[in-house]
Amino acid sequence: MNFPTLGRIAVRYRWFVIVLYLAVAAFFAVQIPQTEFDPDIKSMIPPGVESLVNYERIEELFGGTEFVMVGLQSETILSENTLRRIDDITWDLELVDGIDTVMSLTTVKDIRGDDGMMIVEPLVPWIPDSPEEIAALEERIRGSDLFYGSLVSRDLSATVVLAFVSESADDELITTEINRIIAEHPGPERIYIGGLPPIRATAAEAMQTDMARFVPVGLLIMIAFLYLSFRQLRAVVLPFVIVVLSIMVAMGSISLLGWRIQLVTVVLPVILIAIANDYGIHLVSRYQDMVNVAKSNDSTLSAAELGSGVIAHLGAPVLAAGITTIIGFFSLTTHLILPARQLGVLAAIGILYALVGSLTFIPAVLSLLPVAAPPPAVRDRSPATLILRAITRAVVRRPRGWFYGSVAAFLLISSGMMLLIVDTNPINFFTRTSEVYQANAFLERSFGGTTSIQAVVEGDIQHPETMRAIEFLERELEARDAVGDVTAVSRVVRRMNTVLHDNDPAFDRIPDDRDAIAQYFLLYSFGGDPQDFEKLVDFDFRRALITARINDTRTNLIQGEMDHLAALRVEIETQVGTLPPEDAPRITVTGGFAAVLTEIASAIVFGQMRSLIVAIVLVGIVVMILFRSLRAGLMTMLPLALAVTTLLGLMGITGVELNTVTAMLTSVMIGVGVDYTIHFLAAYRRLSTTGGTDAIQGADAAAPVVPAVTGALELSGRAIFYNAMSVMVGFMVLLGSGFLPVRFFGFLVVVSIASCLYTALVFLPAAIMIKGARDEQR
Amino acid sequence: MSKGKLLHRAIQGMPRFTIKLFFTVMAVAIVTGRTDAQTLSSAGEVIQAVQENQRVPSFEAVTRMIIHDGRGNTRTRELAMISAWYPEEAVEKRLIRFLSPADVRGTSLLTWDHNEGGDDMWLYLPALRRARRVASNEKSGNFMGSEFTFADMTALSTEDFHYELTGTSNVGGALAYQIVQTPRDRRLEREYGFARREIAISVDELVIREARYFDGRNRPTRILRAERITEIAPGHYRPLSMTMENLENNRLSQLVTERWQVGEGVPADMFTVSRLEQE
Repeated sequence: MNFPTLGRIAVRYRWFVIVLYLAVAAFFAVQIPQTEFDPDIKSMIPPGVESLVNYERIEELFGGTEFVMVGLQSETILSENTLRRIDDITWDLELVDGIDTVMSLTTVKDIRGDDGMMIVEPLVPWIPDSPEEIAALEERIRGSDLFYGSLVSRDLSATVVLAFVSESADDELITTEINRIIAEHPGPERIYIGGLPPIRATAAEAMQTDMARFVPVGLLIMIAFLYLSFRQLRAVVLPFVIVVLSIMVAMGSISLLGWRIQLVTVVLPVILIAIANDYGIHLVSRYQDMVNVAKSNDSTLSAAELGSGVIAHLGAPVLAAGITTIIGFFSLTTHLILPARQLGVLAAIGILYALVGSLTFIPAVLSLLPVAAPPPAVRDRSPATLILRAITRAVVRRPRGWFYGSVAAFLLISSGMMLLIVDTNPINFFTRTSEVYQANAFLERSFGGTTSIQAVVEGDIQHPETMRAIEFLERELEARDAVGDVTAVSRVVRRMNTVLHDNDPAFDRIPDDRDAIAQYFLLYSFGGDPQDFEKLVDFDFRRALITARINDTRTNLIQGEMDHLAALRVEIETQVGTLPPEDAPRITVTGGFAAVLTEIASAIVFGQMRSLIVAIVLVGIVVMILFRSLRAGLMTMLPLALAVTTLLGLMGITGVELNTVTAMLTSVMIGVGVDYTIHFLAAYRRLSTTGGTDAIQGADAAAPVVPAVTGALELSGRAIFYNAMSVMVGFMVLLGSGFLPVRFFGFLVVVSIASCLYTALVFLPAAIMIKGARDEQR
Repeated sequence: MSKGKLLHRAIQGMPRFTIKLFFTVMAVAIVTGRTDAQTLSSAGEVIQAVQENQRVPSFEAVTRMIIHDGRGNTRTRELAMISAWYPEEAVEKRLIRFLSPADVRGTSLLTWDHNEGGDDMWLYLPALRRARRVASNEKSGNFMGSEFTFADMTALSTEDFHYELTGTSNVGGALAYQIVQTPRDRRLEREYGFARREIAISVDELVIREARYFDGRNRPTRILRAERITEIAPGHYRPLSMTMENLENNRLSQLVTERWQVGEGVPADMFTVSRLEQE
């Protein structure tokens, strides 16, 4: 591309360029309010993925299996007022859209024996109001393994209301409704709200509010920092106008493309803030350089000449940096997770708009502004310049030391990858002291888990052989450390068998007679509700659901439990029985929301790692083509790869978990890392081919390696350094957030940019110098 | 010997023409009653008339219970039912026996539905070979896993409810009394599982044609519809098909009477626990 011509065209039609650029951004901006938010985590997974298929199958057979837990705690929950409050909350929860069924002390049915007869009746048929009635209730609860320890804590100080949520439920709506209902029924009991839907809702909300609070502050700090660096308003405003407009265009594209905002889309503005100002900063930095040089030569340049001049100078590296970043983001379109694909496209759109604006809008505006020189301090005495010079001197003096030292340090830090924890449990987004975390910890402690995994057993469920297989599963799962409470139809059958035999413990087993089991269920149906067992066994008694509540939702742990279930599946299938194959017990589906989360987690994390590798290779190839040099390609890939491994290593060392959000943020690396490298390489090439320490004036002879490196660092280093420092300072603000993902945003962006900065300013120059020294020796 | 048995003996001992005469008298009484019924002006009178309409010396039927779970699955059970009214004790005794499916065949339920006061229920499970008394305080309990409750299967209670005649309407082409039935207190509301019931009782047949159930928040929960209303004995009408639709979970249950016959009474020992255990 002919960049001087491009610069001249942009300047000649500057009004047209400015108005068109603003108008297009405005068009996209008006689309933003129409954008819908999609909080459903399941929509992230493309259909057909195993865990989701299983989840939906279980839901189809047994209704929603995910639940919200509302825990109530006081000295004793067996008091008239507390029971009344539980009842009121239960009734109101039943009315909430998206809540299927509610299970609480006042809705469950008790199966008890009385003089050889089985009585099925509500555990709390009416709210007891005398000490005798309360004592009787206490006795009933203590005597029933159907509730004791799962619905009521063993010390009777806490109970839980379980609200099963339908598949289409809206996390945020449900959480709001639950909070409203609790507020409408005040009481002295402590309330704990847990389960994945409220965690997710709280996470989404905390993420949005914290981002809204911290990002503007960060932006202001960035602007202030840049102003202190450049001491010229236009040098700060122009790059930021580009950032803001590119965010508008990217966000506006969401509804235009028919997409919806998802949780990971929050990363989009962050990525654009970190990357999109890059091109503008380089241009205004060069603008200042050109004004200064002209001034020192006692010549003058017109505003128009300056406007087109910066493009003539920097058009090529800016375009190269932009294109590689866009291609890097496009590599995300191969990602398994839909929002990640969309994020890739949206970031690419934003970067494209920033790139176009930097190449046309900035020169057009610059050509309109009266020529003004930056204060002289900027070039020679600003702290940034001094630090940069110190770095340059140090690197030039000992390139080998820096190179090998860096490699050693990279390797050392990268070994921290061994410690990297993959964890997408949203509860870990919150600090240990937060209300949400505490509530869930309490609920897990008292009632055995806030999420669950499931297995569906098929066969002739009423047959003792099948029922014993279910019992086997029940007991096997119960013995697991990660499993809290297990619900299975086998437990109900044992209970019925016991009470029908005068509470004789010898009958706490599955009966040997198929008809007995069938008749027990018929008998139950005389007192119970047909829906009482709907989460345990299907209508035809052909399928039973075994649900194990998980009290530890770390991703690898759930994976372990799923593997264990798979082993049990084989064990049950290989057991020899008397039943024909269609009636013999077999596990046909295993899953649960925990399994879906686990799959999403691995899909995001590993998909992202794969996309990163693809991106790095693609970027390398593009740079090879653009620079027509194999070495330039490798020189871009190497620092990128090092920066990524360093980041992952540091995450391992500092205990930052690799989760859906942090994984996506590693994308920042592609954009930032490649831009810094390209700018440095472009400056270096320019100097080493056209020569001289001052590329702005142009010189006659090609410069040797050392002056070229020094010059390139001086020339492009300043913009790289200012850009990097401003972004780092801005994002450090996020470290103050109490919400961990937002804090990690800050951490990751700062670390990413620091490592990219280091590779561009220290590692790459050192490598070039070692190579140059070797070439000279030859 | 119980009063019921005495009555049965008495009826059995009567010559055939006496019985015919008895029915004729009864029919006349009912026709006359119906003439009065059209002018029934209070809810109490209507309810009493309905209660009386249900009482026949004995009734036998084979009924199919079809339960739809709202997701396309259906379960069918076949029941044999025999019931008799014993006026001296003011009790309707009923025996229900499962004919199919095979795994529950022989399971039997015996109820003594007292006109006033609690009911008695016994259940025989072949697997246990013993009859057991079943608690009957749970009127909202589902009748054998269907959407009908036990309360739906028994006579209207005047003890537990307040009735109000709100007017007449046209239901299924028949003129019907509109009656609002409300439990007398919150405890009964829970026990029966509804807070209000709007009943349409056909003026001519004195049969519940339609009933709409509402919960404590005045949301409709279930709808009962009666069809194939047949005169089983002179002046005595019964629906031979009843459908209960649960609006909350989309389940639907049907009770379809396939064969029936009105008898002239049943020996009372038919309805005893020892008899239950013999079968």
